[in-house]
Amino acid sequence: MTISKKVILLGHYGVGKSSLTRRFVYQKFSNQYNTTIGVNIEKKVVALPTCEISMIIWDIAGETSHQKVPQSYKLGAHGVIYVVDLTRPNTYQKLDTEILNLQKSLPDVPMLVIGNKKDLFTEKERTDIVKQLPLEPFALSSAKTGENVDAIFTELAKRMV
Amino acid sequence: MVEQKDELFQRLRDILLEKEHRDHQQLSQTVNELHQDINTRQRLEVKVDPIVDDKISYLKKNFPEIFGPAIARAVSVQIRESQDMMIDALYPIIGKLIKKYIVVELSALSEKIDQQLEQAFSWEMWVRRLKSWVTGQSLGKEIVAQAMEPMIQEVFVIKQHSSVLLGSYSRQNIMDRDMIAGMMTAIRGFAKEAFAKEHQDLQTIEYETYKILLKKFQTFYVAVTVSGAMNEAFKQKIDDLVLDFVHKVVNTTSATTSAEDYLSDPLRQYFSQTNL
Repeated sequence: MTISKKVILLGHYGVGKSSLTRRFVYQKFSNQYNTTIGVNIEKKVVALPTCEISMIIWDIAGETSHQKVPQSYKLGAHGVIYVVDLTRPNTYQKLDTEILNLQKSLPDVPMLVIGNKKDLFTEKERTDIVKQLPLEPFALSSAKTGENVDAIFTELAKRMV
Repeated sequence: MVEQKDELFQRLRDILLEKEHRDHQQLSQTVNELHQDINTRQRLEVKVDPIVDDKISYLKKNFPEIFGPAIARAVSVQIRESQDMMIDALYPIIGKLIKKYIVVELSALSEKIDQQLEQAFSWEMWVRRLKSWVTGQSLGKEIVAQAMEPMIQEVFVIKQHSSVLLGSYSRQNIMDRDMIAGMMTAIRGFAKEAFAKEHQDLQTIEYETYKILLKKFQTFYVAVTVSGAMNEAFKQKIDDLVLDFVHKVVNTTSATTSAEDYLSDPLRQYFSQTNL
């Protein structure tokens, strides 16, 4: 049985939402930065032990606050991936407030906080940055190397069932 | 001597009051039984239930005659006294319906006038008339054959916000239907946010010779893709079809199935039978 689920990717512009989507769906990565206008929709089926999840991924244009994202894009979401850029502190400084507000507008919806671009740091640097984050991220990822990308989406799929 | 007198007197009294004594005992027994009947639920039920049942059946049968006028009076009073509240509730719905009706009728009228003007005075029409006169073929048939007939190409039933596809029907091989449903939902959302009009919805998307008609319902919306030149009459037919499908199929099947795209088969069955 295949179940369709709407997944939205949120976060500031340039944090790597589109790159993570592209890596997950097409196993590709590009160094070229193309800004997303409005929303881009992709789909990938994830096989779980009990069922298949057809993830309809809404890669939404980056905004400094999710409150600037059109409400209709967020409505009906079954899962959220909130991406921050480990190289830019301003993308995670208000992370706790953002997630709190999101939880209010999307109650009971699973949300994963992801620290992207981990390939740009050493292990020690990464540990220091994670300590600065207002919330502990679910995982650190790299769209460039593909590290943890599949695992993040699969985990969200599990939590949405 | 006195004792003897008393005994005699008692005997005499017994003889004289024997009948009253019997009656008293019988009466007392009857009262006891009645007391039992009234105070024992099961015994009372046996006596009363048939009467109550008869009364209930009588009321059921004659409810409109007995209570109809009183209810009608009460409703009438309620409506009269709550006019403002009712107007507030109905105004947006009726207003929207009237507005839609006027828009549809005006479009149809405008289209008809345009068609008649074009047909009557166009150079092509004179050429066709001449050709028809020379060849002897019917002008009407020629025009109909040349016209591009509109045709339903795809129908999608999509959940309002989550964009989950509840069912789809297509005459041709198209790209991933889930992606189309997602994108269509995003476009609707964008239009709503961008123009911020309450109680208004995106109703048509046009792409060259294709038109996508969007019809919103409470929890889902229906998107119908039409190829060819679509006029108001055809649009009305599609509207009627969609309403009929929702009424007959969607409202009756949703509660009985757990499959996600449970409307795909009914959609195929329903729309493949239509000649649109």
